[in-house]
Amino acid sequence: MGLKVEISDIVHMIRECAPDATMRVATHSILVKRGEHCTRFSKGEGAPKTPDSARGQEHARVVRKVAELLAISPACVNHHFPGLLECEAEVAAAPKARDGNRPKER
Amino acid sequence: MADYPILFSGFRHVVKGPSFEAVITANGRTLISEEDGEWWCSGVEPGGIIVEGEGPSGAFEKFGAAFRHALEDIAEGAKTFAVFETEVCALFNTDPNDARRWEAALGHFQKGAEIPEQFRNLPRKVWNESDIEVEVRPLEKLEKAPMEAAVREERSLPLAA
Repeated sequence: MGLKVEISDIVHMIRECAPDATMRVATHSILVKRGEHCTRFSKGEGAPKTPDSARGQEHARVVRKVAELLAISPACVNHHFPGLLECEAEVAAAPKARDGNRPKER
Repeated sequence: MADYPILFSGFRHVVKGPSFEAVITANGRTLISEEDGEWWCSGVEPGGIIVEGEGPSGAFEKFGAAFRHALEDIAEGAKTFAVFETEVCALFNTDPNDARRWEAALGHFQKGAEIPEQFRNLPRKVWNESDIEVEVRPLEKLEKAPMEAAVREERSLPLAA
């Protein structure tokens, strides 16, 4: 799916929904650690090494992975990215249609 | 079906932190998926990485690059080797959601689902959970001599044990 989201919005979501997570901006990416998991996403081309300077865009699928690994609730994800999870659910259902499980259209 | 289970082995990368040099070797699993014409490679181990790329091979190549970049990023912020080792293990921890999808995709193949052309050239390898591992160790002086060719990175499609 082509849906993209602002990197700074991912940072805000983590700050609000996973306040105990540690977030560090490194050379290549933003690293986030919470509990036993660590994950990463783009910090944006050429962005300085502070979370507030994160910029550019990242894919919705990355948001889903980050949210799942950091145990961020779907409600929180929906609050920050309205419609994103519904959109992901539609994509997840699509392969079934390709397998022929969808009722045939007239 | 749009999920394809992949095993990789022989991954090796050397990083330099503020007070240490380390070598990381890994055997893991990824899930390659096609969604709306986009190809994604999502780590099961390492669970913390997902990338999009051009076709299945492109996605896997970008995944390897993202894994290496993540290791370098972790190293630059780790004050000691022990901290680095702990954080690499956290990055490598299994993503339980993608692990379920990986197992489901493997189940499709075991039931006889056709392997798409892009994956037919991959070798088949018996899959054992115990093969999944990451090792982090200090780089010994002797290892600094070029020996990259001794380890070959490989991708394969899993078979049930």
